[in-house]
Amino acid sequence: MIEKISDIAIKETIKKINISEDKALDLMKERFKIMKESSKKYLDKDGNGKLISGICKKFNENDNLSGENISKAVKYAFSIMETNISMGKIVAAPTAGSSGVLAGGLISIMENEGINEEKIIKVLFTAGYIGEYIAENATLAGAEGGCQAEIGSASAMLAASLVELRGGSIDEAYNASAIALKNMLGLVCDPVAGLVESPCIKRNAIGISNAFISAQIALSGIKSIIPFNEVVTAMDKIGKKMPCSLKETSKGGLAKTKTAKNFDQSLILNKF
Amino acid sequence: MKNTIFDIIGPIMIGPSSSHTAGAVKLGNIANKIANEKILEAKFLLHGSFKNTYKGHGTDKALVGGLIGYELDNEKIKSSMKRADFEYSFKGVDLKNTHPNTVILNLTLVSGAKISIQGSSVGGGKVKINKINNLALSFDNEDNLIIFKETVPRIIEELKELNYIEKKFENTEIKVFILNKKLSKDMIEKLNLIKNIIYIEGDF
Repeated sequence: MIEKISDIAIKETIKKINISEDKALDLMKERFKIMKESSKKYLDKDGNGKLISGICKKFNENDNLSGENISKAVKYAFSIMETNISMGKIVAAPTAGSSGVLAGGLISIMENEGINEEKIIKVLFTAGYIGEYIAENATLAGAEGGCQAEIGSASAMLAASLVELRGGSIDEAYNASAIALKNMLGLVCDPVAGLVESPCIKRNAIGISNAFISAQIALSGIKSIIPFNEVVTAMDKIGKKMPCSLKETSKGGLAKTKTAKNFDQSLILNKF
Repeated sequence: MKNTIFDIIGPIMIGPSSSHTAGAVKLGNIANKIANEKILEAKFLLHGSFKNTYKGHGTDKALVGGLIGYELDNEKIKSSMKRADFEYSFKGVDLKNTHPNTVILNLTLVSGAKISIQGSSVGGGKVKINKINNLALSFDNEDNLIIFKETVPRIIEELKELNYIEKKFENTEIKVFILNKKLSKDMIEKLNLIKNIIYIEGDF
């Protein structure tokens, strides 16, 4: 049996934390349960967002413009994000603001293609392994690296998982992650009115779409010109050069548009 | 910085924000453990981004919920402000040279004691405590620690002998030891027999 990233990830995890493989799988199953629940919670009702409510309900996943996998994934991501902004329970993966990407993508393909849940649990370890590497060599926080660190990382994580689900090699998985992350370099964190709604919710959609196409490119045997580890380093350096105004302070970008400023006033965020 | 794969695919938490919600719950949790008694009143002083965006991120609900003792993923956090059995209030402050997500929790306890805890939410749900009652120190939610409200020399010697201590912070009121590993069951039993000692075990 050829070793996959998930095998390596599981082996290293159980050694690091000193737990059994069964326990590790249980911990991941617990997370996947919450991912599934949050992905369905707002299919038919409106969330409590201050700017955005009912986006999941409204999104037509049956218009096959973007293809079945992406459409359903975005629908689920929107439900997860509405759960998030309504102070519901979600799984940060790697963060709350990007929690729709991995979960949405995996639940969608699982349902569309009848994939066994055991396989999905395994590739969550693949995703986690990619995320761990980014955490250790760059950052997963918007406040440090902008949105490239959050949605970009989530996208890279999903891309690797999708490759493994399709039986791709470790090399193909890393190429997919490299391509996915490359496509998100420079993306800033500029949340409107300091909330986790605009542009965060819809950015989960690009995290998903980007992951699917990056995986497809890599599975064709196409290589990323720049290897994954160097892309991560580039992301790190770009993040460090980003001004604070574009790193989760709501002091630049979309957060400082005319419309955004009007929201700021009406929400009276800092009234005591 | 994240520690394990379950911090990347995880934590399971109440949204919307790892730093402004989950981190705030953790700060409340730690304050609850340090108080170690029923809380009568909590005054929250919010600094920086916490101050500016606390309503949108539910930081207020998260802090109150955490202080009640709710964990990161407890759905009661959303309604914590109605559930709290202590008085609470929120004010903005401007602290110098402090992380943008910082809060001071000024607590009045049932014994009459007052305790002030300053902590920061540093991202990804991780937190650091900067001060307890003006004792400047630094520990985070993964540290195991012991807080002495009075001097107990005997136990300190034992801790030293068994090589438990990593860092020590003290002022006239309290001593805080950050331990380099979790205490053994025996040590915990010994501690439980002594008044005015709080042992807090770190996460995972």
